[in-house]
Amino acid sequence: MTVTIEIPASVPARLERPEGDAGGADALATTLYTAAGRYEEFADRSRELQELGSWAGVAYQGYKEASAKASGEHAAMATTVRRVARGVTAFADTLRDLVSDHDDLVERKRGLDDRRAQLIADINAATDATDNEIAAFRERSVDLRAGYSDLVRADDDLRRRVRENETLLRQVFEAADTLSESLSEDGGVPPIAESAMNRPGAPGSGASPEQVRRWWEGLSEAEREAVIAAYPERIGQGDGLPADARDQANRVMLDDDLARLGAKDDDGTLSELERRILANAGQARDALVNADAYTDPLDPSLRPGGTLWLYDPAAYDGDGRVAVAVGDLDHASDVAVMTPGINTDMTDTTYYTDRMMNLYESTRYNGDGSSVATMFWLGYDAPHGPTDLATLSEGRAEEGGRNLADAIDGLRASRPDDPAHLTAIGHSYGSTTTAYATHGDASDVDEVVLIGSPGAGPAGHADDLGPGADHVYVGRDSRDFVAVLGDEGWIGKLGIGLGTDPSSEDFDAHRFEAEDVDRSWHRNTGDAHSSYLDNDTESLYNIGRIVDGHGGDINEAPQSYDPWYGPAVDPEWDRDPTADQPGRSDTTARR
Amino acid sequence: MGSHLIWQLASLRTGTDGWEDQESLMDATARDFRNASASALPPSVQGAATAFLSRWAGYADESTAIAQRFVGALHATADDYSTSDDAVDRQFSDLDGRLGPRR
Repeated sequence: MTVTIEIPASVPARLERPEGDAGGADALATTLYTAAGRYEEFADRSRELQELGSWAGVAYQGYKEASAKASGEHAAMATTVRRVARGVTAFADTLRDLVSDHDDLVERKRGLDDRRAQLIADINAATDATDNEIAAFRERSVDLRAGYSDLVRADDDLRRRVRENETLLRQVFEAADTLSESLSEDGGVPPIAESAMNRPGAPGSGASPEQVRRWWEGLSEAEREAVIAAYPERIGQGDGLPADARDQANRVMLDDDLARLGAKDDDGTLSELERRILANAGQARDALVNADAYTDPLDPSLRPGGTLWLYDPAAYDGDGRVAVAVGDLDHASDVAVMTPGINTDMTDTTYYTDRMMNLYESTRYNGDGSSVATMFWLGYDAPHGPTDLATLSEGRAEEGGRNLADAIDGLRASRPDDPAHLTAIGHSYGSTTTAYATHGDASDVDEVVLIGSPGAGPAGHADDLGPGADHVYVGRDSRDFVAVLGDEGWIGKLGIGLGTDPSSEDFDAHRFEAEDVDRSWHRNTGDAHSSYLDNDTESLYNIGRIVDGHGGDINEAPQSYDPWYGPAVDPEWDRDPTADQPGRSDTTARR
Repeated sequence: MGSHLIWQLASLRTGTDGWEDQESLMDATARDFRNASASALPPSVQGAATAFLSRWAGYADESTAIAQRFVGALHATADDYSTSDDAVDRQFSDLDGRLGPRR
């Protein structure tokens, strides 16, 4: 008896690799960023050179008017060529993704072809095959056909994305190739991006995070790529947008700053503010390199990846605003947002990103296997230090609290159907900022962690914070000078702190063990205040448990109290701290 | 030459130097545009990219010329001020304000 088993054809016959060279496109973008920097310099210089000593009179007026016109037009040219450069950067980024996807398809096809060849060989080798063997051959054939069909669909999708990426870049060039376009407000903006951005709900239009999310959901894939390339400032700060979109946009801006300001530095035309911006950009770049290279402690083949969630290096006179995450903010089950305190600016980005890796590792290593993302958030103007009068007041914390609440609303709005277990962590002055952000019903977090806190700002009791006292945690090293400034007891501390001491009985939060083995015999603002996120510490162990959603498993420490007959007492003062002790302070996998 | 005019000429020279620097930056920019290649881009984009680079090389040339004209105008202004100051100086030195036989 002859049995026919149809073997599916090996399709697609050819998987076309996306054309172009991303590295070469980056080089072209660098040329354009360099040009943008020189047009900027032309505009700045025309403006600055309008004042030439005491020169006055009709001739001077003529010179001044001519240079003012040159300044305005060259500023417009700078903006346009910068947009084109960003378009090329975004094209190169997308091209890398497309080539990677293509390589995956090639690998998939190779696997399918191997299985196909094996099936043919098995059929040819079979003599007097049983019904069961024939059925098995047919089943393998059906599976193969389905695999090839999926591959064809994936290839069609890839080709569409390749076409869209090329069309977008072509439109970018075409939107800036006449003088009138180049001088116009929207020079270098492709029509597809402009029309998308003019729809209701676009970020930067005053829309709420929920409206921004709905706007994004209504865009086609091509429109999304277009607005990322043309409006990275607005997409990169769009609360309610997926973190991945913000990250792509902010990386375009980062590449812009590094290339354009680097070229200006080479030309010797960098201003002091631009020098600070370039240094901030360098920090963001280095932090991302570290975060992108980081491997998961439980699965070394897994790279959780870095996310540049916020990038605004010129903010606050060059102190900058930035947020860098380790892990997938769009899908992680457990998300932590950590706000730093005084003396923090963008030059600390690599330091805090390293701490976020520590926290990620602690959470995963001692955790229940859930996915994790940890983010360092510096979205406010942190006071500069003890000599900065802003340190003594809660003004910056209050303003920063509003910014943090907006950031948390944005994170929440971006994941309406898949909410993360969200923990807000504040260190030092950042704990006061966090208390303002989570006070009352102001923001929607599941857990609040205050470490090294000089006071809980508007909250006199843990119940005053959004998630309620059961989900408010406090870490204080007994030697931390800053963390004993908050008020407690009936006399208080003469108002030198920033509200109630959250480790006190009065506040009644869950205090966890946070003593450092290297603690000094006296209180200080050094190690005792800055080691809460160090590896293999009690503090990091407990914070990791909270972030993982197991706050009930922390190692509790007794709260401080203030007896009527004497000064405040910290029962942790005499306890011997631990380090690297399983179940207490072991936070690192041995890799 | 009076001290005020010297100071003013120094300011004009500062302006001239600044514009000269800008002229050379824009000249380099025009060269960069001309030397840039669109060959790393896919064929479907190369035409638009090449047209863009060519036009912007021309715009950069224009900016170079503008900076050059500022340099020239400021030079001429400084020269005119200097020449006119010298001429006025000569007129006054030739003018004999004395009365009587000493004139």
